[in-house]
Amino acid sequence: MSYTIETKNLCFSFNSKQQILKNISLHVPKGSIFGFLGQNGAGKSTTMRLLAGLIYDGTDSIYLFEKKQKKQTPTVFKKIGCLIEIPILYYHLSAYDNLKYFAKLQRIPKNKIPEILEIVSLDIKSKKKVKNFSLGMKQRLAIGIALLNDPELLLLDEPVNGLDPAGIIEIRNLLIKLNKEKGITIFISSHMLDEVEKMCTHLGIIHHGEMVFQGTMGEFQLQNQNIQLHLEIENPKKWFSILEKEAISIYLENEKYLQCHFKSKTEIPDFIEKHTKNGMRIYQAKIQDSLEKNFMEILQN
Amino acid sequence: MLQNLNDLLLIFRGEHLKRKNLFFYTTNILFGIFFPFITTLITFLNDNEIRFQNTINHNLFINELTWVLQPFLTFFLPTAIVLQTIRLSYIDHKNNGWDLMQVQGISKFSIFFGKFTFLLFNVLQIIIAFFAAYFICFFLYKNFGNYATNTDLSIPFEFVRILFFRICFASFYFTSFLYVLSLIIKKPIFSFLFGFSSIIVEMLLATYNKIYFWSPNYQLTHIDIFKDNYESHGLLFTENISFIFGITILIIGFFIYKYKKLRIAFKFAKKESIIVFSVLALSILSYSFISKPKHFTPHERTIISGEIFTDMDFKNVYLVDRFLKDTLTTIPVKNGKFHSEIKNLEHHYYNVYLDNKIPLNFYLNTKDSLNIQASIFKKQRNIIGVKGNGFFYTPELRAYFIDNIIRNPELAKQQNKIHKAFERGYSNLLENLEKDFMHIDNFKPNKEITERNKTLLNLQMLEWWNDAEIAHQNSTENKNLEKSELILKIEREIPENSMHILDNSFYRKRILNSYNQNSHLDALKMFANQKENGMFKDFFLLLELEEYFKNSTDIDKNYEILDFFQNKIENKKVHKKLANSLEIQKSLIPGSSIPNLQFKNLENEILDIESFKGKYIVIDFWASWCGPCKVESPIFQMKSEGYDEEEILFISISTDRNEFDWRNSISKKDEPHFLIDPKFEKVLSEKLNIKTIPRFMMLDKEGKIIYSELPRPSNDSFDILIKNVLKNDSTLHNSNIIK
Repeated sequence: MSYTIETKNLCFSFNSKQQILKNISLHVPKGSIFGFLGQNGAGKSTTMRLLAGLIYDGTDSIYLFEKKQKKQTPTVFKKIGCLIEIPILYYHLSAYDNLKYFAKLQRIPKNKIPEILEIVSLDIKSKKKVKNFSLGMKQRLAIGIALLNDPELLLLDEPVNGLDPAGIIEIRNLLIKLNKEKGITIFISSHMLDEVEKMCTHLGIIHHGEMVFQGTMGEFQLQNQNIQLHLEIENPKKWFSILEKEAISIYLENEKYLQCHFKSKTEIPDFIEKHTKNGMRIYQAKIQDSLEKNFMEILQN
Repeated sequence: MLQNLNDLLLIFRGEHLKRKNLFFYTTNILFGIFFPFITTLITFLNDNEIRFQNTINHNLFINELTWVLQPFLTFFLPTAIVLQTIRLSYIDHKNNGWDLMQVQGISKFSIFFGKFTFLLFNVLQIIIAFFAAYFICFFLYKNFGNYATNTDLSIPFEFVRILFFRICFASFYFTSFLYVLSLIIKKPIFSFLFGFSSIIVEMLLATYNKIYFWSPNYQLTHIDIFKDNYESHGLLFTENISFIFGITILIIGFFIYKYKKLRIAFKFAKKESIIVFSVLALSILSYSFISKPKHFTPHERTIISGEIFTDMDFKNVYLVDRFLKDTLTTIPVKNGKFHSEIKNLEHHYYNVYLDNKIPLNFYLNTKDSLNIQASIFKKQRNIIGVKGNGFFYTPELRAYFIDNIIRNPELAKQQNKIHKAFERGYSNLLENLEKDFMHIDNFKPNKEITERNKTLLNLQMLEWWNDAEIAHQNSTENKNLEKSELILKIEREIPENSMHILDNSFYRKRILNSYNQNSHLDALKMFANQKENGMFKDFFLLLELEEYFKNSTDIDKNYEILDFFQNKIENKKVHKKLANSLEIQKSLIPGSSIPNLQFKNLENEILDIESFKGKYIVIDFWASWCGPCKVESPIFQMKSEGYDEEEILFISISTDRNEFDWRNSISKKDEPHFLIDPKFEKVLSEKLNIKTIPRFMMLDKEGKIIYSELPRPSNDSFDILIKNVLKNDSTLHNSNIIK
């Protein structure tokens, strides 16, 4: 298994009073979409900046493409595309000119620019000055810039921040497509849990500077067994009293829906089969988003 | 390394792309062309008056440039640099572009230096725009402007090249300083204020005459390329300083940029930290070496050369013995240029005179060489530059501070205030001396000259102290002024036997005063008896006795005095000179005849002294370029109207070499005006002892001397003396006296 990003006990502090990162050991496999989750101030941006070499780390803790980061900078950036915190753009230039500038720095031919503009859906607005862009447009342009050099690794710090639902879906699809078609490893930090769930293959959770979880999405979901089934049925109250006695973790919501807790998904079909035989008429059975709850639980531990 | 340089170029071109919509290049050009165009516009709107009639330089290009250059260097250029540097940094501070450039896979080295190169490119644009605008304005002025007829219209390209490079070096230093500053101070307003106040502070400090080469602003405003006619054979010391300091600041700035926090840098990049600090130490060391003043090495021969820009007729430059005043070498002046090499000059003291009419003189010792550039016009004269390894000229010392104290009785009675004023004034004048003799490439005059100047300053201080003593006495009812520490120190420092300041009369007076004799002559005799024999004594006596004889008309007594001193003087030439001056005096005693001078009148008729025999003659010797003559001549004419033309004639003889000047200076054509035949020039100075003009002489009816030197017509005794003569002549009609 080759890791695109690997950190070995990365520690960092800006001053002697507060340790920002404590023994962070990341393993981001090649070709994965790695979601980096954490509260505000947990150390996500700092980690990103360290990975990008924007903050100088004298230790040999960071490995990119299985080699020490220190030895590869700055040329390693020809294989990396970055989007760190607020989108870094030149406001007095148009979208096209911004791309032209970065293409120049990366020695990329100008004919790539229309292609990028199309990918991020800014081809119509390319001549407009960035200072007149909406936040979503700026975000898209920044992603476009990160994609200019066909990177092998994308470091994205909250890339869908400020986008409308349509935009979010577009970016998500784009990233998944890039990952599948070109095998680009994507390292995303985000707050939006359901986005991370829908997009990421791997997950890493950081809390107060320490890694509290790292692994595949499946591992995460398995680890936290709480699967919540949302049932919309006929006569919920009647069934509530019945199911309650059967010692199944269940409660009534809004006097209309039933929320049932299961240890694993495999228990659900048996449950439904059993109770439909007993006459339960089901309008809708849906698995609730449990990631949020899992997440909060982890943080509280 | 090659990759870094390639990337540097990439960043440079990226910066060029980034500047779109920001009018970067336009700003550069505007700052460069603004002042030349504005001044030309104003000149043309003001009807083009001749601005530079009597200028320091006769070359039109340089004249106009001098006018336009200083504001550009003091204000427009540095302000433009401040502005552009901060704008350039701020584009990236604002958008976090520094981070962004890094994650493009470009080394910090390339980013830092690429951006700096782009900045230098902009600064170069400003300078080139200035020169281009100036060239255009010069052509406009040349073709459409008014200027004096003998102005040189050529373009001194070598001069422009040197000036251009000097500006580039100084700007490089200033730019690197601002660039690093704007990187460290992220808020543009603070860097802008800092940069801008350095410009304003420099403008204010300029009045204080302080010297501080290390400041880039100082270097910009003191591109004194006009001061010395310096032929550069390499970089000047200021250019060296700019280069070293500029590079050092860049290296340190890059180090800070790369590691942001020095603590991190020390921890992780020990090698680099050591390199950077040694660079810093090295540059400070080099500065102390470079700023040490250099001295010229003496030549094997004495070379005297130079060029005179003038509207008068210059014939010769003279190398003259300082005390004996005999001419050793006459160097002819052709087309204003002169050059002479003298081998085996005796170790002695000399002066160089630019034609014996103009009292501009330089002190010279053997193995000194001198190159003089002078501009001498009727209305104004100026030395443009003097180059040499041992040139002297007497510094001007003015002290308003002392005047103020002495002339105010309230202040003059306060001893403490007087002491303080002298102290402050002294240090002020010492500093000015430093600055006056500062050469463009940090050459200092050799020890002899600096000591001479300091001694002259000390002597002047003592003279002023005498005035202060008197003022103090008068304002305090005769209380004595106590000598301050400074004055006592100065008195101790006055050398006893200095040949260098022997020509200063106050110095000699002090020495004679120390003998505490009642009369000047007694003191002189005592000096001659007590002083050890030698050059100092000989020339001391020469100068004093010459002065004495000039003022004493008793020829016999003079000869007695000369006898007394003769055997106290070793130098035979001194003997001869003193004897000679008495001879001349003798030859001019009343009753002696004078050589028959020849001259011509306005109708070009040639006359001589003999043609006027039979009448008394009063002669006014004058010239068109002589200021005091212009005052006295009208009075002379006016007084002449009070006498009878039948008995006594008042004639004006001009010593002008240029006939046209003579004719132009005569307003009333019916007065008796004559121009001396040039052959008689020497006779006037040697036989008639006419060393300065105006000079007034009275001859009797046979052409013999009555008064060889009459007081000036503006003096009452002029009339009295003339009338006395006429009164005692019984052959005249009485009507003369009544008139």
